[in-house]
Amino acid sequence: MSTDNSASDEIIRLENVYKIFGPQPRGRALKLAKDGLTKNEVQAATDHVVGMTDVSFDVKRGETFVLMGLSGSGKSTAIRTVNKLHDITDGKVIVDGTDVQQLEGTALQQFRQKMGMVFQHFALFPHRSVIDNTGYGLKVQGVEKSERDRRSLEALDLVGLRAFAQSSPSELSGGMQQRVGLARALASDPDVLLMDEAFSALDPLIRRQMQDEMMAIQEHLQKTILFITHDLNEALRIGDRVCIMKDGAVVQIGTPDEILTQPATGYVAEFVQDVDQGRVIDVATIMRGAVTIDASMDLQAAITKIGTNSGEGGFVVDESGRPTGLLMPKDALLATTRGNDLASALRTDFEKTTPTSKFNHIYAAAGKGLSIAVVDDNGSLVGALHPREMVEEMGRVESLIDGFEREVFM
Amino acid sequence: MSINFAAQPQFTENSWLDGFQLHFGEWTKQIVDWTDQNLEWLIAIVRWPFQTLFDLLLNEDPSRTSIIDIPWYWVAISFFIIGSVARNTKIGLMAGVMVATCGLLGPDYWSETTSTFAMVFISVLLCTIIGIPLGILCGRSDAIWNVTRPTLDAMQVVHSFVYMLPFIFFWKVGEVSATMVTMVFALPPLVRLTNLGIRQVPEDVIEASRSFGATEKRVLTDVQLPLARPAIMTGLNQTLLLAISMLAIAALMGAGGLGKLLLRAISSQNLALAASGGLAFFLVAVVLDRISQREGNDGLNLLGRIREAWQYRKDPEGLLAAQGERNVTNDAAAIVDAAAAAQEAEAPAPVSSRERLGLLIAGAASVVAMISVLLPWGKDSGLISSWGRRSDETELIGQSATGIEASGGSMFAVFMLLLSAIAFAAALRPLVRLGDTPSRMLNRFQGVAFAVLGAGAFLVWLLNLFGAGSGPLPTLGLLLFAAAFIAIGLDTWVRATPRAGADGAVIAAIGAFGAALGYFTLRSSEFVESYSHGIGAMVAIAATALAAGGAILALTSAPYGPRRPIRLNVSWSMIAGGFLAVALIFVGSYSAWMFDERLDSLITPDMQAEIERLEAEAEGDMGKQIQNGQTITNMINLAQSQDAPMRTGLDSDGPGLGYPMIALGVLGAISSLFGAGLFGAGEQARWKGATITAGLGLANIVIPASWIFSFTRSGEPKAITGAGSFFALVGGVILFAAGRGVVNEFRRRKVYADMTSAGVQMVEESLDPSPEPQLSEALVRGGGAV
Ligand SMILES: Nc1ncnc2c1ncn2[C@@H]1O[C@H](COP(=O)(O)OP(=O)(O)O)[C@@H](O)[C@H]1O
Ligand SMILES: [Mg+2]
Repeated sequence: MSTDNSASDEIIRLENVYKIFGPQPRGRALKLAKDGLTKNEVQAATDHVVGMTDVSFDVKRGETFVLMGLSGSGKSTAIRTVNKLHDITDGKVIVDGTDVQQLEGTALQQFRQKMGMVFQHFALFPHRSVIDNTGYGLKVQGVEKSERDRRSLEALDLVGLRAFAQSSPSELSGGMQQRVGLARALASDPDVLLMDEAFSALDPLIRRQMQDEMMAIQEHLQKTILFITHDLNEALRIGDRVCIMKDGAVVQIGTPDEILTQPATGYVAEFVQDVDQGRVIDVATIMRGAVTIDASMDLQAAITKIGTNSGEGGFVVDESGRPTGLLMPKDALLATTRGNDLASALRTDFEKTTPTSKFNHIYAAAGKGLSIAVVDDNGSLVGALHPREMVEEMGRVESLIDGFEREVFM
Repeated sequence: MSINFAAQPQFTENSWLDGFQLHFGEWTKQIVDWTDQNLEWLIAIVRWPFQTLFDLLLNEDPSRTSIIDIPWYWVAISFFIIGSVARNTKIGLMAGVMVATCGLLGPDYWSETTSTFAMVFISVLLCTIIGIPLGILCGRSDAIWNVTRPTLDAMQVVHSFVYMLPFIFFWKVGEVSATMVTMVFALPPLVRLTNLGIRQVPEDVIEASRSFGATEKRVLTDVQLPLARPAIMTGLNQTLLLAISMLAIAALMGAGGLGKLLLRAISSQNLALAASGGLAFFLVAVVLDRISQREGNDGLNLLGRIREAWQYRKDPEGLLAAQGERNVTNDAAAIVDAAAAAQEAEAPAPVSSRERLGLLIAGAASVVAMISVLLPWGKDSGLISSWGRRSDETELIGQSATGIEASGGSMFAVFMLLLSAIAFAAALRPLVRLGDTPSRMLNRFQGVAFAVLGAGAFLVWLLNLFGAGSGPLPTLGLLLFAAAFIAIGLDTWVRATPRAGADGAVIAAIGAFGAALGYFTLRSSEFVESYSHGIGAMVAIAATALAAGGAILALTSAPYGPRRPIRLNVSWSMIAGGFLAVALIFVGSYSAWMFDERLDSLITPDMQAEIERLEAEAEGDMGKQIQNGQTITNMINLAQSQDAPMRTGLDSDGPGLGYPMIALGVLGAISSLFGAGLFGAGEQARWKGATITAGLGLANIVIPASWIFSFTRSGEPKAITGAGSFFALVGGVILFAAGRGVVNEFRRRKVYADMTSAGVQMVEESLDPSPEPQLSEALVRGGGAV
């Protein structure tokens, strides 16, 4: 999804938020947490559970922001502070300029009406029909029945369930129920969608399908989405930015690329290990500048230019910058035995790709063992990629993990 | 020097302990006395709601109407309506019939029945007012629950005999303190179950409501209460069952009602009183339980349910689990039905021309049968009334009576009318295709009808309180009842209950034929020579026979199939049912159908004098009363057995109803053999056999019932019906039940509109024998439409 949103002002902002569960949340437990003790240490010392400790992040308007972490890492606690289903213990939550903690009573209820929430286990009202479930937010807002039904049907159309408007939720399959949950959140046209593990209870195939559908809907609705998941693949797939949490604390915030290529800690790296990185990493991230050779050079000069040990070779480009041939060191050395003609040593069966392609698109091309030309939309050479580098890049994450201290996995 | 310790008690001396008295009893008495004297106002305040309710419902002030004064049939009709609205028409019908039975037992029992209803109603009402809000508070606040819970435990641990005393001290013996004790016993399950119901609502559903900006009040009314409703309803039902089980103790504490009647019956060893009182008591309990029950009939009888209520009174989770387990199968069936209903392309199988012809004949003949009650049924005397009323033999010469008159067709014609109406409605239902609109309109109309009915009933009651019980009000009440009746009837018809079709028509038409046949074969009493049948009776028997024939014609070609796989082996229990029924009908026919205690020879003047002497002797002496009462009973029994003024169902000078009953009963037993699958195990054969068996069973219910009701309608008090007619009636019920079991498994087949590229093509599809595939199929279809 695109991050180049012109209105990139922030809509949700958490500033150093702490949330302690227990009889005396503001007591010693908070002090210890502020002193930087971990969740387990605080729990051992005070018998209070740290839900969030020093959490700060901001979500931009129109952005899909994903909170990712293992179960118990405080994701749900974080999302619930945004519409004050939980009170926070310390810090500040600001949504659209409003300090959420100050809201009470009617003001709070009206504030919540601007948001739609989707739940892991759907949380549909079993005693209401699909259309009444969908229109619930509007009903709370006091919208009259005919208008409510019209807008509910529109929302059901979006998720493809119009035909089931009069059914009872129990007659629908899990995936269909969650679509009703999504329609219910969308019906009142909220600014912000809060999705707490919305797809986690669905089986993998349906989950993929739902992700696609959600991204398609998002494509034209452009809502701000705060999405929670414990599945990094899902996070990287749909998130514009991803925030990784552990034990109530934020570990890293960044774009999917950044998370994959520059994991901040071994904890993140461990996660990243299990991800099919090829799906996420752009060619642009790992390509390097190409060595170019003039077509008029003789063979010896060209060999000097590319160097013999790098094994990467160089590209011959025409006057408009397009690559026309590839000189590989091995070919060059062979050709020197026959003469000094550059043209006879050039290959034309090299592969091309673009900077925005994903890593996994060029696996097959890399199989040839030749350098791959990276060209822009005009066909001009902007960089090159050697299969060996690709293997190195994939191995780098592994070695990163080994490099990190083991302490994070205890 | 010696020291004398004797004067002072030694430390080791402990004989004073032997005689020690801890004056706990005295202290309690002092506290009670003090409270009684100084907190009189408090006691009066607590008394007020109870006393007010009792005064309103059970006052003896003749200037105002209280429930005791309401005739039983109004109460029966009200229970029919309440049962139909709260549950379904079937339960409404059952409740109405049971209440009517209590009323038919006679005024002595009826007044006690109403006060029992009132007492249970008052205790459950007060329990509801206190219990549900308290349960909701407990469900929403841990603090309140932590205080309430031990209180409830205490209320349930202490035996009611213990806390009975303080209530009696403060509020004296009577229905007020009895109701309080009942409440202490019956309230806790309601609080527990309400609390549990609220707490069982999934947290995320509540959060969903909150996250859309709902107020806390909304969260309660939109989510928590609706989802807790099943648990709360179970709680109400439990409260009711426990209140019923406390009625005997309440009677000990001086409350009135059937409990008092039973106590009296036990102390005076009056068997007739005990049996009738016990029957009324049982019926009251069943009616209240069934109306307030959450699920359908879940297979436990009343005693089982009361035992369950006792067993789980401190364990609401256990109760819900136990009930849930029993209802799993019901739920599965409901889901299948719902899934099937969700398929919009589904429609009942079309009516073939032969079925249409049969149904039209049945419908038209039923109309003729209904009209026949307006024609004369008897001339020159009453047929049935002649048995119970001596004056008939002279007074009615030259006159004729229509079907519904007591000296005409009486209840035979009334039952025939009712059953013909049902046959008519059932026969026409498959011919009328109704869309959604009428049922939706009816739903609305029904809602309005019930609202008006409720408001009207309240108004009538209110005006009655102020002594304005006459004027247009009774008519208004009548109209309201009529509106409710029509609404329920139409609603049942539109919703196409499973038996609305050929099978329902067959059963009702055979029943109607039974009524007509019964009247036709009934002999007039020996004192009447002039009686002859009127044209109406002939028309009735011909029309009902034609209706039954038409319905059977439709039955032979109606597209019905079992709704789930039926066991194809021979059903011996059904055969046994059929033969047991025939045996009972034989026994019943050979036994007494009427006793005539009017015969002057029965009690000789000598006996009369002896009876009077014994009664005088026992005056004012309890023990003597019992003893002499027994002597008198024995004397009368002896006289009766010597000179039996009794007629059996087969006597040549009796009513002779045994003959048609035996004929129909034997036919029923034979058709039950088909229904049981003895001759070829085809589904269709079984269905048809069972349908006819049920119809013949109904006919065998209607004949003795018509006899009993007609006789009582016009008889003099000393002429009573005999137990033989009752036996025969039970035989009819058994035969009916034997057939019904199989009939209920069958439904009209469905056809599905199959969406093909060529267009909509109707494909007949036999009902899937197993429920699961149907469900998944429905889901697949649903998924496919996305
Ligand atoms: N109401 C609560 N009372 C006490 N502890 C809680 C409560 N809610 C959450 N927690 C604790 O806070 C931590 C974070 O929970 P949560 O935000 O639900 O995690 P996640 O959604 O990431 O799985 C967990 O250790 C959990 O046990
Ligand atoms: Mg969670």
